[in-house]
Amino acid sequence: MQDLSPCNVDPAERITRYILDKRYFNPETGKITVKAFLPHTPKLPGSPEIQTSVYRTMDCEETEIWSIGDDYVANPKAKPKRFVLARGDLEAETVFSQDLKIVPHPTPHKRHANIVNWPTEGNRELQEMKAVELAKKARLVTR
Amino acid sequence: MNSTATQSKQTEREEGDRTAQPIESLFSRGWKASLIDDSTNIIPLYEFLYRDWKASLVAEASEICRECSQPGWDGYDAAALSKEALVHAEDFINRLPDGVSQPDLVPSPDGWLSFEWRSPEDRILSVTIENRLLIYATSLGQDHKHCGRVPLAECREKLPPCIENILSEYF
Repeated sequence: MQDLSPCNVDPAERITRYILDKRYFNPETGKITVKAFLPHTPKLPGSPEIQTSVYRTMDCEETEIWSIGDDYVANPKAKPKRFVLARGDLEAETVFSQDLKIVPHPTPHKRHANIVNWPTEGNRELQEMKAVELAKKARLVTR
Repeated sequence: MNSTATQSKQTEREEGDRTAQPIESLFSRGWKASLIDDSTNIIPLYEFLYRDWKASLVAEASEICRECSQPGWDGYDAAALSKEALVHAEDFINRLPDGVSQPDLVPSPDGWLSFEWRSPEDRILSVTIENRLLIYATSLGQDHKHCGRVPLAECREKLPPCIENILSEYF
């Protein structure tokens, strides 16, 4: 396995967003919804900036990609249980083309990263516009 | 009219009476809230009851709000959907003009409901109804993108013209 740069994400890298909600993808059309990529707002003032959690899955085998999702994103202890149902794969370049950044954040896993540099909360329509472009370019992979 | 014909008419009337029973009587006879089709998929009963997709969408909105009423419903840290989200969504559904194609209803991680239209040409329109705002973003082709916001107070009676135009021209 090739080592990932701890600082920089290569534009050619594959970026994976795990999907745990059945309404966020349609296996018949192969499409992922816009909301699957929308960033999450920090709950507390002073929390980290709004971000979308992703994984850098370049050079990973299929089984390894699903294992990361199962081990670090799914929550089988939650009520109801949350399982990884699908994933959206993107080229990092697609993210960069929206003036977004991918910042490595090796917790809880060395391949974890966050998509940041989203427009502020007061510009929700601009956030939505960028998420539309990510949803258009993402490739749906189901289990 | 001879007696055979009269008997036949009587039988037809009885058959007709049986098929015209109110839906409540079917429930009282042990029908359940879902049905199973030929491929043994369970189909929500509302899909059978409502021919009108708007009514079906309202029922779906209610179901989504119930299922997403706890924070973290998306497996990350999404906000819980509130009753207010449902009220706004119902208003929006009722304002959709006849003839428009049916959107997908999608819960938003910030606790509201969204409507998403997607065409085979990969055009996308996403509309989210928030507390006082309608937020929208659309991609209609190469370099043909548009997004904006409209105060809900300005679209209580009908859809904002920009949304109505996009829907009628592209979806």
